[in-house]
Amino acid sequence: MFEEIGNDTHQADFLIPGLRFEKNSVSNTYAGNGWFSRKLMSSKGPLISDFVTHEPDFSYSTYGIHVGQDDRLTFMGENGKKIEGFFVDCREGSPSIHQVVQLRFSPSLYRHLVIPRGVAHTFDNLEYIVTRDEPIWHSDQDNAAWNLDNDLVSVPRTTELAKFPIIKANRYRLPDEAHRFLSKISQSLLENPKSYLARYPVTIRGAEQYVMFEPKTWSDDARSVAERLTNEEFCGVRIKRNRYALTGARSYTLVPNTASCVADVLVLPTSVPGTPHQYYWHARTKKTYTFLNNQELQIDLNLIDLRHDSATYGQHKSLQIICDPRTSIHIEQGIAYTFNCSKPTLVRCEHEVFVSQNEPRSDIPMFGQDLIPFAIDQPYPNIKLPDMRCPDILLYKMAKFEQQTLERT
Amino acid sequence: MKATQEAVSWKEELADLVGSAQNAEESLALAAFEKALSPYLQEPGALRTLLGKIQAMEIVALDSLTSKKEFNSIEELQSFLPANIKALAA
Repeated sequence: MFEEIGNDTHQADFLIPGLRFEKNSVSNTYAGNGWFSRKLMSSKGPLISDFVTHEPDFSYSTYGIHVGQDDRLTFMGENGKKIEGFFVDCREGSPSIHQVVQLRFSPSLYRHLVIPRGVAHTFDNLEYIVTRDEPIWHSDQDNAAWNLDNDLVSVPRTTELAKFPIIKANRYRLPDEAHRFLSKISQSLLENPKSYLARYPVTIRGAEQYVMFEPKTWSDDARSVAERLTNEEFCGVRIKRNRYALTGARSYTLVPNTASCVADVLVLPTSVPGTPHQYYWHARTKKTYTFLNNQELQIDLNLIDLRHDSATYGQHKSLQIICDPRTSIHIEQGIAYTFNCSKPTLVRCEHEVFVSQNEPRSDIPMFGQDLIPFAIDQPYPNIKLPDMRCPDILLYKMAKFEQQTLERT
Repeated sequence: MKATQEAVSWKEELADLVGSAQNAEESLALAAFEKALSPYLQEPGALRTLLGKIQAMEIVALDSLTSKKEFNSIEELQSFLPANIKALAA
C-alpha cells in the first residue's frame, strides 16, 4: 500500500527509521525575460552534488543498497506521473529489518528524500526526471560488503522479501574534506566517460561474492557527444564535455566539473514571446551551465561581448544550444547574455571566481553579488576584469558561508 | 604517466587528510577510509567511478541471477548472460 505524499509536505518521517523527507533551500531569482526564476541551493553538509538523468522508458529492475552512503535525493522535472518509491530496511540489527515502505509523490525542488545506508530502494516513473544526489559518506573497518569504488549492492526486484540481504552499514561519518577528496578522484576517473557497473551478490561454489555486469554497448558515445562540442571559443563561450558515467544507455550520472565541487540548480522558465530580453553579465565569475533535462530541446543563448581586449568586442551573437546533460556551456567574464527557451529547463550552475590585485574594487560588485544588468542601448562598460582565479577552497568556503547564512534566516 | 602522478599526489593528500582529524570520530572515519582507499592508490587503474548508483540493467541479465541459486564460476554465470553483457569479479 502506497503512502501518498502531498506537494506541500516538505518534511516527513516514515516507518523505517531515518527514511524521511527534508526541506530544501529555494529562492526566487526572476530578474526579467530570458533569465533564471528560481535557485535551489545545496543542502547542509559537504555541498557536493551529483546529478542523475533518466531516459525515456527508463526503468529500474533492481533495488540498490548503499553500504557507506546516505542518499539525499531531490527529484526534479516533470513527466506527468507521480514517482513511486519502494524501500526495504536491510540494516543488520535494525528494529525494522525487512520492513517495507512504499511512497508515492511528485517531483519537487522544495524537498529531498533521505535514504539511510543499508535501506534497499528503487523507483518507478523516473523517465525524464533528474535527481540531485547529495550523499553523505561513511567508512568502517573490515566491512566485507563495502567496496569504496562501488558502494551499492544491487538486488533484483523479483527477489523474495525474506531473501533480501542483511547489510552491515558503515558507522563513521567522513568529514567534508574527505567528500571533496573523493569527488576529486571521481572527476579524474570520469575525464573519459565510462559505463557504471552495478554490483550483485552471487553464490559461487558455496561462497557469496560480488560480480559486476558491464553492458558493452553503452560507453561508445564519443562521436555523438563530439558533435555537440565547440573546438573554439565563440564570442566568449565554449561548449565542453562534462564528466559523467552512463547509468543507462542514455542516462547519465554527472559529477562536478570544478575542484570546489560547488553547484546550484537554477530554473530557466519559458521565455515570454514579444517581451524584450534582459541581459546580464559577470565581472568576477566564469559560469558553467549544464542543461539537465529537456534533452534535444534547442535553447538560444544571445550574447554581447563586452571585453575590450577581445577580437569579438562589441559583437552581438546568438548560439543555438541543444540540451544534452553530457555537455556544458562555459561563459567568460565580460559576456552579457540572455536565454530564449521554450520549456522550463533545469540548469546546473558551477562557477570560478576571479579577483584583482587592487581589491577591494568599487567599480564592480563584491563576491556573491556579481550579476550586472545590461541594456542593449547603453554604452559598453570600460572595466578591467579581475584576472586572478580564486583557489577552489575559498570558493567552497564562500558557498559554505552562504549555505549557513541561509539556514539561519 | 598522468595516472601515476595523480596517484602519488592523492597518496600525499590522503595522508594530510588523515592527519587533519578534529575529533575521535573523524580519526576513526579517516583511518578506515585510508585503509579502504590505499590499495586502490597502489593500483589506480583498478578504480572505475567511485560512484554508487542503481544501474538500468536489462531484465534478461538479472533473470540469470535469480534463475539459478549457485554457480561454479564466473564463466558459468557469463554463459547465462546476453552477449552484450560481461560479468566481472568485483
